[in-house]
Amino acid sequence: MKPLLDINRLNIDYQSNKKEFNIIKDINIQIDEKMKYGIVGESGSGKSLTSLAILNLLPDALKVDQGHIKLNTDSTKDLITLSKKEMRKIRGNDIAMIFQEPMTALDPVYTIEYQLLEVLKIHKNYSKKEMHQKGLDMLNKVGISRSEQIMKAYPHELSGGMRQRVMIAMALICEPKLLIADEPTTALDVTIQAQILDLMNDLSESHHTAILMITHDLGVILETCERVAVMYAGQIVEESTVENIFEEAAHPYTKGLLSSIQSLGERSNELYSIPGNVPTPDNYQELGCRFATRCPFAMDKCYEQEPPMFEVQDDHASKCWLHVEEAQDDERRTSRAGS
Amino acid sequence: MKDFTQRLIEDKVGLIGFIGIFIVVLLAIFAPLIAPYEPDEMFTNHVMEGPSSQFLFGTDEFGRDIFSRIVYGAQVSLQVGLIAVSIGAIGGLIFGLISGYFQGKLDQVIMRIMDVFFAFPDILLALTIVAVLGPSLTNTMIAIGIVFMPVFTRLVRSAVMTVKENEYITNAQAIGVRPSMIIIKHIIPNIMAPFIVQITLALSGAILTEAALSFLGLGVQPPDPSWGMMLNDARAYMEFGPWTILFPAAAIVFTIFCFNLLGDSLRDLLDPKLKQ
Repeated sequence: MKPLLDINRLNIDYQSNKKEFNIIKDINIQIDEKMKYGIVGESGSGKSLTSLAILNLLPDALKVDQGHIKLNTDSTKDLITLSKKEMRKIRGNDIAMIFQEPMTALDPVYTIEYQLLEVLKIHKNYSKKEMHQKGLDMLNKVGISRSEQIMKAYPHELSGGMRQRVMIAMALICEPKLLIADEPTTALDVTIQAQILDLMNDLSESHHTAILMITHDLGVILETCERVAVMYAGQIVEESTVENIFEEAAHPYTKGLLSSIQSLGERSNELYSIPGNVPTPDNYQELGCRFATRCPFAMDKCYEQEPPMFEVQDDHASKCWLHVEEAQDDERRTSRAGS
Repeated sequence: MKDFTQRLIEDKVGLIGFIGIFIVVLLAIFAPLIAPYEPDEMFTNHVMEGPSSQFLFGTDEFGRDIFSRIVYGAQVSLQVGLIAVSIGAIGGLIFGLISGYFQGKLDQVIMRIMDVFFAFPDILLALTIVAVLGPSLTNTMIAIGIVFMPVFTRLVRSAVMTVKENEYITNAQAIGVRPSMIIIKHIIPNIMAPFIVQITLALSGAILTEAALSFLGLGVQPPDPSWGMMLNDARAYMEFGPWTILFPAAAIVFTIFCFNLLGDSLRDLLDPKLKQ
């Protein structure tokens, strides 16, 4: 079966009159129908850009250099080459998006009703009454109880959690196949975060919607996703099921991320942090591994040659020379033992 | 809309402004019915007379009734204010939206042209335009409109650039709204507050600029009454007959004041965050 969304060797470049450099390099992601897929990484790792590229909403200075983003619904469409008009039919209808800041993601001059139904007006042919009813149903589904009243409210009258619920209602009202959630809980209180994540989980199941969850919070990934890609400096460094990543992280960066999580009740004097900062795109290493400068295990090779995506186990790939070395060591040992 | 009128009624200050402008508009529309005399009718026996029951606001150096001239002058002032500001505001809105939303080279071209207009003092630019087009009321309005356009363009452009960065614009794109609809439905309503305030400021500015142009003989042609021209005519007689300058000036101040009051409360009314 073809995956619902197939991102294949996606490259995004920054282009201006003065300079040109690569930002996103060789991203491969396959999301099946109803799958919950997570992308995790630090700020500036390119996870949001990847999601914007799916909807063809990249800022003007950024260009998709090569690669495909294929959407398989009734027919297969390459979202990169689609005309603007065709693309608009997909946005909101087949693929919907939830943004990070519920405070600014709703237009302050319109009521919730107007904004909730705007997407229906564009994509579906319902009568006014039907639309109103749909809106009410959707608000009920996202756990808003006084839906009649909320429909007439303006965004500033709602709390952050309520707004994010409205955003989810807006995103799901056309029953999209894929929901992209770009840090949907970052701006919310921890207690509300859990509620919103539960809600998204429930709704994606009842609406048969796949979710692409973009976050910097490994906890969110653990709670919601089945598969996860770890991004660093515009590349995927490790990709596997959530269990594999949390239990048998292979890439030094992923290990670093995992050890920087603090769990409740654990006492330590110092928080672990990966030394250094995420390089800015114009400082990415031309050759070799982009993580090498911060990696505790970096070898000479890491600065000279880009590591391949290596299958460390079934369905678990990691972009690091260590695995290749280990594999070679193993081979040598077995061959020595054999001779 | 019903909601809007009700809130306007509740807002006392805005209501005062609204009623004031309404009065001026009535004066302008029903000038022939309200004014006791023709604006250019001269009473040679009553030159430079102070306010009396016969001449409510007194008479000027030609014995013309100042009250009648003010009533008729409301037509000119409102016309100039509204039409000139409309030209400037609509032009500025279009250029500002194009500049701010699409940016790039077109933005550069538009803004540099506006900078050229900006470089001239208002009155000099208006003077030049009227001199080229020929002195008449219509050309005065066009000239004032062009003079105000750069201010509106800059204002709209910067407001658009701020609004454009909001996530609700990205969100609108992400649900498949066409760019033209994004501009009309999401950007324009969100830049209305500063835009309306600028309009009210420009209205008073337009009335004053018209007065200045009329003074220089390039605006309304005598004997047609215009508040600005009356003011300027009266300058020479200020010492003998303060009423000749007092009443036209009061008319200008009253109108501008009402426009400003209304503009101020409109801005609040149009801001949904202040809705109760």
